[in-house]
Amino acid sequence: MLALVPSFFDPQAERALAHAMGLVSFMLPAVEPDDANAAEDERACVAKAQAGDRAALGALLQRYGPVLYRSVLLPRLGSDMAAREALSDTYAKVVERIDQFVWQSVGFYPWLRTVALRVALDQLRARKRLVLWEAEDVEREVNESNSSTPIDDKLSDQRDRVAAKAKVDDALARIHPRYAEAIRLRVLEERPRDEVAATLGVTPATFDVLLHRAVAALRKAVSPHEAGSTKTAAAGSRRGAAEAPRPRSNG
Amino acid sequence: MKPPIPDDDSFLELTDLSASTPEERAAADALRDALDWHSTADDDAALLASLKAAHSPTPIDDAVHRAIVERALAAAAVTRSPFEGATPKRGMVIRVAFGASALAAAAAVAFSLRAPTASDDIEPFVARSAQALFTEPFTMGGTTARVDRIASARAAEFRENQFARWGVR
Repeated sequence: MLALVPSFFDPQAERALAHAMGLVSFMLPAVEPDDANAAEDERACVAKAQAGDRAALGALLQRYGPVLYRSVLLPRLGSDMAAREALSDTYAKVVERIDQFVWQSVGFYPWLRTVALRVALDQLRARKRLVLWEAEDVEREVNESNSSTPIDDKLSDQRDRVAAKAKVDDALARIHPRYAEAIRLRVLEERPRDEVAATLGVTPATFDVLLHRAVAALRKAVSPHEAGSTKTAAAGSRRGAAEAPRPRSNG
Repeated sequence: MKPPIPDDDSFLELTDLSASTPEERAAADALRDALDWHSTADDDAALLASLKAAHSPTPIDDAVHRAIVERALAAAAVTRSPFEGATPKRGMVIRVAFGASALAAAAAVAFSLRAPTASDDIEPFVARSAQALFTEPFTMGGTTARVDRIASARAAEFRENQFARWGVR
């Protein structure tokens, strides 16, 4: 390496440079031989895919597809059908644009994840139905993805899943605890309706209404601007609620 | 139509049905049916499904994923030639697309001009009744729930047909 150093460096500078390089190499984490081999294998695979090798392209998609589906697309799009459609669209874009991919040390997955996020963003913008993720959230992630997606797809997978659970917890924390419990027991834990009703101390029919109100509260918490559009209609319901007998507090 | 979301917290506590409105009970029934049928036709059910999908996402079925990969690779085979390097040939895409279109048009003309045969006596398609989906008598005000139930059942059947066509079920 020092042979590459220009000869006009004086010996003292060369010694200082060598010392600095030794220090730097000591501070950097050692690259495990397996990781280095895996990175090189992936680089070769990507190069083959870019050259038109369908088997190589298939290997890449087969490897990373399940992670993309489960950690990136399904949480953001909210349904398996939408996520499968988005995965299919992601692959179509990969086929179309893999030539534009330039190998960097971070590997193939971050680029793939960014493509998937863009597809998810397009879908969220096109649909009118409210889901947990809003288009603005995904747009922010797209902007951050190029610099912040972990190199290792397993780390990225874990980080995405933790973030998704945190988003759910945050949404439920914004509604009344009784409503949050109703949703958590019935939907997240998938307990039977009768069991959840008994846990909450109401009849199954009353629980149905309770769950409906819980979702209404959740909708208001997740997307206040959508809930705000119902304010004029809510005036009528307040009149109705005032006339109806007020329920006793469930101590 | 969904009942409006009240603006104050007076609706938070609910211990019996007498404190709910008929509209709320109808919407609650629709949500219950949607959850029972695993349908996302109902907006509230879709929101809950998205919550569940974020909280505990299920993995994609291996066979389904393989089918999606294979479709992508098949499309890659059409648009990219492995013998011509990495640059996709747009001319190839146009030629293949034009050829396929011309073939389809020729087939359509040939089909419409062919002499009638005995196989033209095709049985008319029998529309299916949705009656089998309902065991209880119809009640007033339950139209939306009934439509949702039909839509959910037909969507499930459509999915099954898709999976069967992909050879994964």
